[in-house]
Amino acid sequence: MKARIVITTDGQVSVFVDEGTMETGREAIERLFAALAAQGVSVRWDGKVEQHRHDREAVGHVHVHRELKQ
Amino acid sequence: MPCNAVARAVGYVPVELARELEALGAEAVGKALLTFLRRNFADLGEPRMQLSGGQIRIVQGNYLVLVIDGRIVVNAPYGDPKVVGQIKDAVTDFITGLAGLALQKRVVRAIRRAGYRVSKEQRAPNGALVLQVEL
Repeated sequence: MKARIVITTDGQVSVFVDEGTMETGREAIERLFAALAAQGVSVRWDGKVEQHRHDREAVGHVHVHRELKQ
Repeated sequence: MPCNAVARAVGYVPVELARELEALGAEAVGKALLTFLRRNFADLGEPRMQLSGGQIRIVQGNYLVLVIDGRIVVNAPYGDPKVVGQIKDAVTDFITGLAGLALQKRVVRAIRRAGYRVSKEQRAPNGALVLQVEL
């Protein structure tokens, strides 16, 4: 499934999953962070996954968030 | 950057200055720092570097810059304390930036080694690395 990973110079690692569902996205993110840990890069993550989109039809700029926390 | 996503998670990898600098190598860090000082504090004179183990020691005019185990020390018994502060702030920002770049490389290397295919890699104006991957 297609995703983007954004790594800032201060160590923030953001993962945006662009396909599938929120649940399959969560699983993919968990697999990614586990795989990174196995390579010696431990990502500190609170387990929170959000759905994140900008509603272009709305007047102005609306953020829609759905949270799924373990 | 567009942020539409069916799922988004934000994590954090702590930047360990000493570790990232060690990975870059003292010589590479020292040379980069030398260039930085030459460019930004040209009026203090030509900087000269000595490497000893992992320690970087640069003398520029009356000022001494040391980088030891990720710590940055600027000394100048006969220098202007205000300039000491300016050098320390500038060198700290520079070294922290270098460590951040090293960390980004380390994370990308780990992603590739873990078997993920990175189809595109680009740098955003804020310095962030943006990867397109198949998860």
